[in-house]
Amino acid sequence: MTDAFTNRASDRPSALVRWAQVLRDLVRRPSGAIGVFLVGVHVIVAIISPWIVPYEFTTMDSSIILAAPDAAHWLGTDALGRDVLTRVLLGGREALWVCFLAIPLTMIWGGLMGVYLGLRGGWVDEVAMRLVDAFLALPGILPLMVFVFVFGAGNEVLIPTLAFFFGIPVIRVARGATHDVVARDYVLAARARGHSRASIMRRELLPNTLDVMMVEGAMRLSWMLLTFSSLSFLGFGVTPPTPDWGQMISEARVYMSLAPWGVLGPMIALSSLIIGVNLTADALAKTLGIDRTRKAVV
Amino acid sequence: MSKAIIDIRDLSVGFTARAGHTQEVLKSVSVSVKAGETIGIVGESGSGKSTLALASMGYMKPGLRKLKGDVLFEGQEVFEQSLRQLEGMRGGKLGLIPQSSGQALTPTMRIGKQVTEALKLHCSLSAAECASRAEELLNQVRLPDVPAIMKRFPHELSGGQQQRVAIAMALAGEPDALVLDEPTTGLDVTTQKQILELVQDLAKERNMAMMLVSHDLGVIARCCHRVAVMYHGEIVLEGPAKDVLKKPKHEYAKKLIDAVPRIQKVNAKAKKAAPASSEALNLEDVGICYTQPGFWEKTFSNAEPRELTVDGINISLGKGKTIGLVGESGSGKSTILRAIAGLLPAQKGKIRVGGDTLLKPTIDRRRPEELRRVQMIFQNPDDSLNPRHTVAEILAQPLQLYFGKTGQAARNRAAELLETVRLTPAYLDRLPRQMSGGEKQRVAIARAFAAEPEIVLCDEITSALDVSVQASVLELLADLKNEKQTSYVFVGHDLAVVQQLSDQVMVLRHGRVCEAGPVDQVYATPQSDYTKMLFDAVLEPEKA
Amino acid sequence: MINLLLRRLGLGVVTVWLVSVIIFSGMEVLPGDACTVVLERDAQGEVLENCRKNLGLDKSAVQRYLDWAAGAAVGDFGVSADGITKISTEVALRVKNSILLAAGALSVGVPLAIILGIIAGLARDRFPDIFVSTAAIFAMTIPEFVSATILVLILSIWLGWLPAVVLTPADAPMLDFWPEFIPAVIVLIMVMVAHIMRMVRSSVIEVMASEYVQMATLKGVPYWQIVFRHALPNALLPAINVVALTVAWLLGGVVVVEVVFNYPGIGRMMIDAISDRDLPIIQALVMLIAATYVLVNLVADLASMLLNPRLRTLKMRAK
Repeated sequence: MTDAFTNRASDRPSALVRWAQVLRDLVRRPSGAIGVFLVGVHVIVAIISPWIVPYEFTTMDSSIILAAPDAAHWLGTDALGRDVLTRVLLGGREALWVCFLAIPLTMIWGGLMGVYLGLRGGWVDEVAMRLVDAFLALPGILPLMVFVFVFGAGNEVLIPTLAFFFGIPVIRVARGATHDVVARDYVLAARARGHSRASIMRRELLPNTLDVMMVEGAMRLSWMLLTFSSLSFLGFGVTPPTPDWGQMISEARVYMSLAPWGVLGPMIALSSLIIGVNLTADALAKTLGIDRTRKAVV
Repeated sequence: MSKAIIDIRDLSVGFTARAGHTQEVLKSVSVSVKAGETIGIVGESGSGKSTLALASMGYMKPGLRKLKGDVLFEGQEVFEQSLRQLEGMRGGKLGLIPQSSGQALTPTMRIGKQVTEALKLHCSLSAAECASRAEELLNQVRLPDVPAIMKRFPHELSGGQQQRVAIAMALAGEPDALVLDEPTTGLDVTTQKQILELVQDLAKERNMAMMLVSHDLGVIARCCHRVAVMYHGEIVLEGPAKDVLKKPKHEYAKKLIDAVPRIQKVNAKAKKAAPASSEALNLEDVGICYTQPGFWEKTFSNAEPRELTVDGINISLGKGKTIGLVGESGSGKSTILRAIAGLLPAQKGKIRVGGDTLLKPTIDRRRPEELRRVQMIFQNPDDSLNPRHTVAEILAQPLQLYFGKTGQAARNRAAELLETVRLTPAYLDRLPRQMSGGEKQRVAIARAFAAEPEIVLCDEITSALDVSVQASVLELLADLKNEKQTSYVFVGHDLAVVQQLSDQVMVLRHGRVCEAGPVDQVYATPQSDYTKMLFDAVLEPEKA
Repeated sequence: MINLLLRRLGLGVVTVWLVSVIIFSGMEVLPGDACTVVLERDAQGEVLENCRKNLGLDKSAVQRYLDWAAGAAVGDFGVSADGITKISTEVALRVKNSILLAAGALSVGVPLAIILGIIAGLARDRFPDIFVSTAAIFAMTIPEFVSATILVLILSIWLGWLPAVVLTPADAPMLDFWPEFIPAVIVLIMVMVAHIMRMVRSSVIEVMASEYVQMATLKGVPYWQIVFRHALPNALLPAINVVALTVAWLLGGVVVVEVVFNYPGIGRMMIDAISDRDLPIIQALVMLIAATYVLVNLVADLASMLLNPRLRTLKMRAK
C-alpha cells in the first residue's frame, strides 16, 4: 500500500504545469508571439522609462515649439516645446498601472458574482440580472466621465470605477459559462453527495470556468486600455502635466497640419499596446479552444 | 457471379499527426458488396468503420487523406472523379443514411423542401412531379400524415421520423447502393426494429447493395449477409454472417461476440426466491414531476397542478439485491433515480432507506448521513468526472465530506478504493483525459463506493462504453455487490444487461409501471403487451 | 409564443425603469444640484431657496422622481439647467443627427461585414481569411480617435478632399451634412465591420463543419447551393443579435467620434452636458439611450424568433 504512488504529495502542481504549457503553446502561435512581445516591450519600457528618458517631461523650451525631429529631439517637440520622445516613453505608465490593477479586480468581482448567480439561480439571480441589464443599457463611457468629472481623475477614483463598470458584463459571461458547467454530471454528482454551495463553487465551477475567465480578462484588458485612453483623449483622464498618450494625441491634433510627428509617436505607441493585448487574448482563446468571437459584444 | 457495386481494394487512409509522421486510420482495407447483398461492418469506437463508410462515397473528414488503394463504385474510381461526377453519384446511385438524422437534416429547411431538393438534383422531373414524388417517397418510408410532415421542420419530428425522412432522401435518386452509418444508434429498440425492417424491405424490393456500419452485433446479425469485423483500422475477419457470428475464427472477433450480453433462457419457477433479507430501500406510491416550475411560473402563473411525469412507483428492495428499471426514452426511469438521490423532489409518496429512515424530498434538506447512504453513478464518465481534478482528488471528495479524511489518510484510502475497482494506485495522479472510458467509469464507481453506501443508483452506466468494456464493468458491479452487500437500482435500456445484474425488474412506459416482478418471472413469462414487444425487438447475434 | 413576447416586453420595461431609478438616485447622490450650478457663487441663502422653489427642488426626492418619471414617460424631460431650453426639442435635433450618422454607417457596414465574414469563413485559414481577419484585429483595436486622426491627416490635410471637422450647425437639414460626415462614418464602419465580421466568420465555420452540411454534400448538393440554402440561413441567425448591439452602440452616442469630428449628435451633447453639469439633460439622454438599447435588443430577439424555426416552436427548451 505504501508504494511510490500512494505517497506522492497530494498538493499537486498540475494546474501550474498546465498553465506553463498553455503559455508555451501561446507563444508558439505567430499572433501570440507578436502579442506577448508587444506587451512585454511596453511593460519593460513603462518600468524603466523614468531612468532612460532624455529630458524631464515638464521641461519646456519656447525656442523650439513644434520643432521637427532632429538629433536632439528624435520625435520633435510639442506646442510647449517639450520633447515628444520623452513624453511618449512615459505616456503609457498611467494606463498600464491603472488597467493592470483594475483588471484583476474586475475579474474577481464580476467572475465570482457571475459564478455565484449561475449556481444560485432563483429570485436572487433574477433580480441581480435585471440590475445587470439596466447597467448594460447605460451608455458605455458616460458613467465613467461623470465619476471622473465629479471626483477627479485620481487612481483611487479610476481603478474602482473602471473595475465596477467593466465587471458588469463579466457577470453575464461568467454566469453563462457557469450554466454550461452546472449542466455537467460532475456538478450534479457533487450536489447529490451534498457538498455545500461554496465547496461546489470552489472545486467544480471555478476551475472549469477559469479558462473562459482568463480569455475574458485579456479581452477586457484591451478594452479597458482603449477606454482609459479615450477618457484621457476627451479630457477626463490623467491630470496634466503627467504625460498620457490619449491626452497627447488630443493636444497635438490641433497642430497636426504643422507638426504631424506630434500625433504619430503616441498613436503608434498606444495602438501597438492595444493590438498586442488583443493578439495575446486571441491567441490565448485559440490555445484554450474557446471561441471568443461567438460571444456577442456586451 | 454478379459484379461488385462497391469495391474497396487495399485502401489506406491517414492523417499527418505531426510533421513527417502519418497516422493511419484505415490500413489496407479490402471489402466489396454486390447487388442485393448487405455487408455489415462491425467494430468498437475508433476502429475506423465510419471512415470506411464515408470513403466509399469518396468523402473524407477534413484532415484525412487517401494513402493508397482504390475505391470503385460501379467500376469507377471515386477518388478520381470530377466534383460534378461525385455530386451526381452521391445521393443518386449511391445513397447515405446517416448516424443521427436529427443533426443531419438542415434545421432551417422544411422536410418537404429537403426531400424535393434531392429529387431535383438527381431526377429530371418538373417541379410538380417532384412534389408528388416526394410525397410518394415519404409514404413509402411509412410516415403518417405525409402532407403535414412535409411542412414541418426537422426538430418537430421524433427521432424515428427523422430517420425515415433520411431514408426517403437516400431513395430519391433510385440508388443502386446504400451506405448506412450507424442508422439506428440512439433510437429505442422498438423504433430500431421498425427502421431495420423498412430498410431491409426496400433493399429487397430494389435489389440494392447495402453497406451497414454498426457497433451493435445484434443489428448486424439482423440484416447482413456478410460481416466484416474491424479492429484498429483493419478488417480482422470477414465472411458470411453465420460463420463470422457463430464460429468466429479470430481471437478479437470471438472476444467481441462473446462479450455481447444475451438474455438468458430461464424458467419462471426454477429458482425459488432467495430468503427475504432486510429491506434497504422502499418507495411507496411515489409521484414525480420532471419539469420544476421556474421563478416566473412560481411567482406569477396561476399555480395550475402539473401532470406528474412519473406516478405510482412502489419499490421494495432487499439488502444486497438489485432492481432493474427498464424502458424506452421518456419512460421516466432516470427521473425515479434522481428523486431517490434527492436531485428532484417527489411530489407525493414516501422514500425510505434502511427500513426506517424517511428521506427528505431534496438534498438540501437531507442530513449528511442520509446522503452518504445513497450514491449515484452516471451514464457518461466523461461528463461525471471533473476534468480538472486528478483521480486522487476526485476520490478524496466523498472521503473528506463524509469521513473527514484528508491528506495522506484520504490518499491511502483512495488507493485502496482503486484496488477494489481493479485499478492500480498508479492512476491516483492521472487526470480523466489520460484514461480510457472503461477506466473512467471504474473511477466513478470507486467514488460512489468511497461513501460506503447502502444503495447505489446506476443510470445507464454501461451504455456509453464499448461491449467488451461493458462486460468487465458489469462483472465488477456484481462482485462489489456480493462483497459489500450493497443494493443497486439499475437503470438500463438493454434487457440482457438488466437481466444479468437484477433480482427484480420494473418495466416502465410513459412514467407508469407496465409490469414489475422477480426478474426470472418477467423474462420467462412477460404479461403486458408492451413488455412482450420490448422482448420481441431485442436483436442478438444468434438471431442471424 | 405570445406569452414569451409579453414576458420579454415586460422585462424591457423593468430594465428601463431600473435605469431610471439608477440614474435618478445617482444624480441625487452627486454633490450639487441644478441651482448650485446655475447660481455658482451666489448659491446661498434666500437666492438659493427661491431658485430651488422655482424649480421644485424643495420637494422630497421621491416626489421629484415621480414628477420627472411621469414627464419622461411621455417624452417631456422638462427644461435644461439654464431654465430656458426645452430638453425634448434640443434632444430631438441631436437624435436626428445621430440617426443620420448611424444610418450611414449601418447601410454600408452591415452588408460589408456579412460579405467579408462569409468569405473569411468559407476560406478558413487561407489567404482571404488571413487577410480579412488580420485587418479586422487592427480595425477593432486601434482607438477610434487614432483612426480618425489618421483619416483627417490623409483626407483633409494631405489630400484636401474633405473638411477636417463638421461645421454644419445641429439644426441644419440632413442633406447639409453631406459630404462632411463621411470621415466619421468611415471610422464607425471600421469598428463595426470588424466585430460583426468576426462573429459571422466563426458562425460560418461552425455551420460548415456541421453534420447537416456533410449530409448535404453526400446528398450530392453542389457547393454553392449548400452554402446558400443549407449553411447561410443557419449561420446568419446569430448575427442578428450582434447587429442589434451595433445599432444600440451607434444610437447610444459615439462620443469620441462625434468629438473628434465636431459632429452635433447625442454623444457631443452628452459630453457638453457633463462639462456644464446640466443634470436634466444627462438624465434625459441616459433614459433615451437605455430605452433604445432595450428596444433594439427586443426587436432582435423577436426577429431571431421569427426567423429561427427552432425558437419559433420553442421545442429546443424542452430538450
